[in-house]
This record gives sequence, structure tokens and C-alpha cells, in this order.
Amino acid sequence: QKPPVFSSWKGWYWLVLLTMLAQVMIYLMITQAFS
Amino acid sequence: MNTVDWIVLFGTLLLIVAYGAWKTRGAKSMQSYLLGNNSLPWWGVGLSIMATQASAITFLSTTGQAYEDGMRFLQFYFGLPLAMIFLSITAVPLYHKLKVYTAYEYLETRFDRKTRTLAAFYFLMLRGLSVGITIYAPALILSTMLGWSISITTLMIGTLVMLYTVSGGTKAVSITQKYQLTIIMAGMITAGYIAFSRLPEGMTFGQTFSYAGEVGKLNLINLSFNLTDRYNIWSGLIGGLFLFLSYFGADQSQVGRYLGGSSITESRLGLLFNGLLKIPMQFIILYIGILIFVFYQFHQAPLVHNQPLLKRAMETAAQAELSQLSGSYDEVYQQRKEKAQELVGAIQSQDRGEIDKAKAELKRLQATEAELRAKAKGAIATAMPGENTVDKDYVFINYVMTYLPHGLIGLLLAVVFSAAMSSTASELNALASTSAVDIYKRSIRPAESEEHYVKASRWLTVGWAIFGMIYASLVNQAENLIQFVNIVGSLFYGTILGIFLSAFYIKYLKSTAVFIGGLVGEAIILYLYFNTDVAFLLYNIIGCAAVIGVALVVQALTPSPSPLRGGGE
Repeated sequence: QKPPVFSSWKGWYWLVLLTMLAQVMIYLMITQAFS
Repeated sequence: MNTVDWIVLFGTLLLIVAYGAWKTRGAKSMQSYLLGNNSLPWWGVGLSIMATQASAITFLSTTGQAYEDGMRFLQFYFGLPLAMIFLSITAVPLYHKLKVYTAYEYLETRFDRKTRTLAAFYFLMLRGLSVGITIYAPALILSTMLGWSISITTLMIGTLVMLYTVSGGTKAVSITQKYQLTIIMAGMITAGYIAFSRLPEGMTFGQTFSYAGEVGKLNLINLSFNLTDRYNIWSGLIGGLFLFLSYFGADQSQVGRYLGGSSITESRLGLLFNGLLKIPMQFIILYIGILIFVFYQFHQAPLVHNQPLLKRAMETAAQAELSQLSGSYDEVYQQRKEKAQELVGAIQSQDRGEIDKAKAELKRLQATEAELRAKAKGAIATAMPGENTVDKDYVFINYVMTYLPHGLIGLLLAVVFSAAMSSTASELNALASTSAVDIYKRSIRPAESEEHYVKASRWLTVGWAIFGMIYASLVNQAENLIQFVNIVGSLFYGTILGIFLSAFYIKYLKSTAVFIGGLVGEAIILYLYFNTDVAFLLYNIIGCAAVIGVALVVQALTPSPSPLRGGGE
């Protein structure tokens, strides 16, 4: 069960969650730059 | 299309099919036929999941959607990474430890046979009804563009898929998907690059981005809360989470992909890989639609993107009106092209005043163009009643057939066929494994040999493939069937998800309560469908809540078993 790279699976879950949120933030900045 | 294109198209398709069928021939056990011997590494699981989700219509419609409507469709996928995290935590270890062949098999260990059969039945209904459309939608577009009969394109997609899914089962599906997805992404990026390379001299990639933003195509995020409209961030996060939880957690077409992973770790990483890459992948596909939009600012876009339809309309009573509209459209285009060049110049010199001026005039000309296009479609609809004049799905394929060099046209048609085949293969494989394991082996012929069940699974795959092809040809006769099928997923997904969430998270609920919840929840959804106009995105949430709510009430009213009987599940 021990995942590669991170010491626990929580590391992977946070990575996926933060990647999604980072994309939302970038897209929000793009949207606001042109509105 | 010339000889080179035909060679590229058929060469690509036949190579993949032959390789898939040959490489995985002769699976003898259910484990090798339905789970591919559990040999998939994480990247194989991830690619298989992505190839299953991306059907031909994903590529044709998504680019057309961006072309007409901008990038806002991307918001719909924001809930997907959340669903991947939830399923990695709960579904993957449960399914793997129990060594199940299908998701519904797990329901019997948690509840009982009747609940398992109910969920399997719902799945066979929804997937059986939609597999025909997965084949039909690209078959229609390809038949229009190639001038073939739709029976030919339907048969071609259906039989090619049948060849390798019947012979090699799940493993054939996953090894062909690896190559199909590679061809799909390479072809799509090439098509986008060619649009970019034909923009005016000196226009950089960054300037295409600024141009698209200035004309309102980068409408990526809408913060207003409205769950009845799918184009805002809350619908994407909440509605998308529920939709993708049921699609990836309770739909065997997807569950079958990660059940083939070689361990819990590999399956989990495969799902998380999808959670990391799905939004960027959709961004790229949408942006290819934007590049085609910018390309058509400097090359004349057709009055109607479904060119074969326009050609046929020119032979009807609408001919005079269409010629006149076409003339006005040419004039407007010439003016608009000048304005587009002014806007690019203003962007390059970063002159805000000039940008706003060019933008305002462009907007006016674009409105005129849209009006002319709408009039042309109206004229076609009047002259040819019953024809579908929506041409969004033809934007990309018409661009490919008109502007790409020979060889690449063949490659991009192979992309459309491959995308149709990669989704159809997973769906047929899932329909066959569910009907073989959850219905045939469980309730019809429980005590046969392993070989018997592998043979039965093969024949069921053939049966579902033929069903899908016949169904696709019937759809062609009844346009309103398509409307129904596009939402049929929403009619069952909420209920199935409610059953699975009860199983995963609510230990208090026992089988009979959930079974009754599953029946009542579905009845509520069907009542809403026939009597109200509740938004389809809400069906998943309402159906899921109804199952759990009803099950909790029934469970509360059920006398608890006496301790003497042990009270086990």
C-alpha cells in the first residue's frame, strides 16, 4: 500500500487537490484579465 | 481524400486492430479474459481510463464548442479530480481485496444478490442504451463527410471493435487504447499546430491567446451559483463530483479499467494520473478549437460548416436565398478580416485604445456574420424539413478536410475512428462482463466450467456489439431518440451511486432497505423526467439522495434482528 514518491497516500491526494485548485486560480486570473 | 489518406487511415486502424487481436489471443480463464491477468501498470490504467472517457464526440464537439462558445465547458471537469481522490480511498481497495470481476459483484458481499442484480440491471440499461450512440454519432459525421452510407461507417466501427474485444477481452481493450490515445493526441496537436502556422506573419502563440481573450473566448470561469446550468464553477465542482463518482465508481465501463491494475497501488495511481491530467487534456482540446477560431479570422469560414448539407441545399428551393446570403457573407468577411488584422496590430503594439476600437467593430461584424449564418440555417431547415442544421460538430472535421495536407487528413480521420473505437471497446467489454458475471453466471447457469464462462463472455461481447450496431442504425430513423439517449445516463447514475455510497459509507444500512431505496429512487427520477423540467445535472444528486434517504427510513422502521440470530449481514 505504500505509495511511490510520497511517504503516504495523503501526499498524492493533496497533490491532485492542489493541482486542481491551482488550475482554477490560473483560469480565474485569465478570465478576469479579459473581462 | 486521396490515396495517401486512405492508406494512412486504413493502415493505422487495421494495424491497431490486428496487433490487439493477435497479441492477446487465446485467453482461457475469466481472470485473463475479464481482468487481463491483473497485469496493468499505473500508466496503463491511467491511459485506459482516459481513452475510455474520450469518445469521438468528445473531440468533434469539444473543439466545435470552443469555436462557437469559448472555453467555459472546461468548468464541467473540475469535480473530476475530487472524485478520483474519493474513489482511490474507498472503491479501489474494496474492489481489489475482494478480487471482484465487476463493481456489482461487490454489492453482493456487502448486501445480497437482489441488490447486486438491481444495480447490474440499471447499468445494463443505461450502458446498453448509450453504446449505440457512441457508435452512431461519429458514424453519422463520418458518413456525411466521406459520402458513404451510414450503415457502412456504423459497421466499420462496430466490427473493427468486435474483432479485438471478442478475441482478447479486457487486455485487448487496454493495449489498443494505448496506441489509440497516442494517435489521438498526436493528431489533435498537429491539427492545432497547422491552424497556428497559417496565421498572419509575426503572430506569436501568446498573441493568439490575447486575441482569443479580447474577443471573449477565454470565458474560463463563471463564479455565479446556479446548479441548473452546467457552465459555472459550482456546477462543475458539485454536479461534476457526483457525475464522475458514479461514472468512475459504479459504471463498469470505467471500473473494469482499474480492476485490471496489478495492485491497489497501480490502480490508485492510474486514477490519480487521470485526476492530474484530465483538466489539462480538455484544456488542450478546447484550445485547439480556439486556434481554429483564430485561424478563421484570417481565412474565410464556411457559411455552414456541414458543407455536404449546404451543397444539397443548393439544389433545393433555398438556392436563391443561400446564394444571396453567401454573397453578403463574403462582403462581411472581407471587412472583418481587416478589423482582425487591426486588432492583431493593436495587440502587438499594446495600444489599449486601438484594441478597444478594433474590438468594438469586430463585435459588430461578428454579430452580422452570426445573423447571416442563422438565416442560412433557417433557409436550409425550411427547404429541407427534418435535416439537422446544427453544425457545431462539423467545425473541426470540415477544417481538417479543407485545410490539412494529404496524409494528415487520413491521420485525423483515423483519430475520429480511434476515439470512437476506444470508447466502444470499453463499453462492450463492460456490458459483456456484467451480463456474464452478474446475470448469467450468478443466476442462470451457476455451475459450469471456467472455459464455459469465457466462451459465454465472448458470445455476449458479440451479442452486445451486434445490438449496438442495430441500435445505431435504428437511431438514424428517429432523431428524438438521440435526445433521450444523451440524458439516459442521468436517469440511472444517481440511483446507482446512491446504492454504492450506502455500501461504502453507511454501515447501518442493510440489504433490503437499500434495495427498496434503489427502486423508489429510480421511480422518483423517472417521475421527474416525465413530469417536470428539472435540470439533468441535478438528477444525479436527487437520485443519490433519494436512495439513501428512503433506505434510512426503511432501515429505521425495520425491527432489528434478535441477538440470538446473530444479526449478521
